Amino acid sequence: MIDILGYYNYWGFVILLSIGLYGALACENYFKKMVGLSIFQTAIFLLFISIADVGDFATLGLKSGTAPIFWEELHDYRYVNPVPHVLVLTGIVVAAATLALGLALIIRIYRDYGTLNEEELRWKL
Amino acid sequence: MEAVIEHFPVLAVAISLLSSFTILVTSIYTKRAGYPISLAVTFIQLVMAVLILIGVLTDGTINYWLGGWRPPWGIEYRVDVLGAYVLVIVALFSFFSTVYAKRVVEEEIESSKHPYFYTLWMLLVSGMVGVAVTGDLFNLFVFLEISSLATYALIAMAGRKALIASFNYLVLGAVGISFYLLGTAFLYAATGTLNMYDARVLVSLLYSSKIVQLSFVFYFIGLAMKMALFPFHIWQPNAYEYSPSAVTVIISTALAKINAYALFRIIYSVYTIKFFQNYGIILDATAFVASVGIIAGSLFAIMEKSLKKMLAYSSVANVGYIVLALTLGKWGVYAAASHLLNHSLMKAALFMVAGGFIYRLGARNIDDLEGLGRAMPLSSAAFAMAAVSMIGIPPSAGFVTKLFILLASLDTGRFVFIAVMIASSLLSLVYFWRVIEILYMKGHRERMDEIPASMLYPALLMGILSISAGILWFFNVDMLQQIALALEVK
Amino acid sequence: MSVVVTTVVRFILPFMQLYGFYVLTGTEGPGGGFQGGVILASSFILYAITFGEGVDGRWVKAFKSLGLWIYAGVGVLAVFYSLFNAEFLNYSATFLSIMVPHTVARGVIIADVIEVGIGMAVCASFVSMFFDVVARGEEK
Repeated sequence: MIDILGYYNYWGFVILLSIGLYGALACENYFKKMVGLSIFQTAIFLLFISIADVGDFATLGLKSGTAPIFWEELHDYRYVNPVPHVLVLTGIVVAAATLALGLALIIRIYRDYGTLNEEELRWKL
Repeated sequence: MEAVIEHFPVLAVAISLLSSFTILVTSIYTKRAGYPISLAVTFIQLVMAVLILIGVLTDGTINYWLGGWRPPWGIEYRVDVLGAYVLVIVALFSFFSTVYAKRVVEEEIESSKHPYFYTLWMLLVSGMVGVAVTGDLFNLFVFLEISSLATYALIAMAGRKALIASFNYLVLGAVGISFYLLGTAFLYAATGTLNMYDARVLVSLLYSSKIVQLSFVFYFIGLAMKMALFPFHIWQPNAYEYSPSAVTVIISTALAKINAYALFRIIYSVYTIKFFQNYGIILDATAFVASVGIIAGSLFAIMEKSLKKMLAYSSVANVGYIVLALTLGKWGVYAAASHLLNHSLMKAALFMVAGGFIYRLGARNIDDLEGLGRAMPLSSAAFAMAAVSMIGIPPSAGFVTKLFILLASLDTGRFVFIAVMIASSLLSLVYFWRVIEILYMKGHRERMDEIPASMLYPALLMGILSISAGILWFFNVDMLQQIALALEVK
Repeated sequence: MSVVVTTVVRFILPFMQLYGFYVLTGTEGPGGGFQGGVILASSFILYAITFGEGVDGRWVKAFKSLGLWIYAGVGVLAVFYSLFNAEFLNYSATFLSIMVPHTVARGVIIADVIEVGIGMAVCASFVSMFFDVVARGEEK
């Protein structure tokens, strides 16, 4: 049981990923699509910071999870891998840009057509 | 001189990035600076790209460490023969699309928005150039996203219907790029590196790992969504149909090829062909999806009334060709690499003329083109040359690709793909012949003005090149061999 | 806006901006450009919401471009200053080499300059995003 529950962040990743993908592809409302897309991207960021924690290898006599910018003497302390965090920061910037562009488009679409429903808009094309 | 050429890949990215924001600043004083700056910068990039290709062919791969940080920790720009060749394709078609853009942009976009158009245009170019030169998986993601975000905004600039087309593209494109990121996360979890060539070494020990296999599946789905492979192509026809004509030209040539190149890179530089030999099922599934895409894209094209949408479905089929060729060993690599250029040449001419017809006549449907073969002989000739090349009559560009795929199928003993290829050629004969018939044999019109010179001459050049490309490739097979050699395909 | 809001915002704004600048350059070493820029932008947006005043679009454009020019310009400068011997973004090769002999210290100083550039671009982008959306809403 603890083997399954111990991976709670990965379960969170899987659930969020499914919710997000469903929202982005199956929701009819354009705004809900953008919300789903944001959840989808957030799930991937959760995966990145989950894999950053490389675990405690001290019991095996190995130096674990040290960051390269810290000094040699501090190696007894445990740090998580900083690279995925940097990737997530970049990813957040990209996600923010996508969201901003999507919302700008939604505002224009609503002003021009008066609806955000996918079925109604499909017949306008 | 060698030392200077080593800096060219990064400078090519930097100048277009800097120029895009220079255009934004100049918009405070004048609205007209965008076009000359874009034209100058894309020309400089073209010169740089050619010099890089010559340098790489003579002196070998360029390894460039950004900020002096040693890979695999730092970001590495690595330009081998394939990268330099794709860089030339991107620079070439960016330059000619920019030449073409002047008149159509004046016509289709209100003048207060011109600086924003060219700002986004240069951002798109810098994203594509970046994808061609980078050797880092996450950096590739960032550049892909720069180019796609610029594309969504550029498509939306046409207003009204383009807004919906752009939004649909945005959702599918963002999901696709997120799948790419997911693949990167899985690969990073398995190997702990983002450098492609470091990952290649580490992955070779982990072929049986489920994480690595799954990461490839995610990469494939993500990039298939980006480049509109068959089941994921839904966004493409509308995006091509409603975007401004200049944008259609650049995204159907350079951007589509950049996405295909990213898959090429990942298959041959990260996972390598040995991975697929161990897991034939992945290879067969990829080839099957591509074959279905080739046939389905051609069938959709036959049923389509609008000229630009028909060409978009033909792009779906041709992307299928590239992906199919990637699964067919050494000759397949030749076919895929040559088709990156061939398809760009043909589609550039076709979309340039299609945009010209809209510019002159507002003619979007194929039926509206009656009698134009006599009314606008030069434009129609450019279209007809590219169409003949798409059908694959020797010695045109399309024939070269089909010849290489034929040889690859014979070489690997997968004869079913010969049938797929012949069926697709016949189908493309059907839908392109329909256009040529309407252009030259139906209706009658008085002679009228050709499309403007800045649009006509790039189209004619592309048309002539796509007819004669077979002869040009005959002298350049050496480069294809070097590409295969650099990717260690035997 | 009510007097409570205006008073509180007037009191809180200097601290927000100071904190933004601290995150931008106050820490030792690289990082913080994006976060600092966002905090600064939020202070401008808060001011605009409370007092109902816009910003000049020309300044936003200029800052956006200037920020990117600083970032990429320093990177290109490293290449040209070292006569094509140092790589793009190799901060230790820039023009401070005479004044600051220690290479790592040089890198840290230039990294702060870069952070200011990133912060400017991010701040201007977020402010313009907000005002574009607000302006579109008012037109309807």
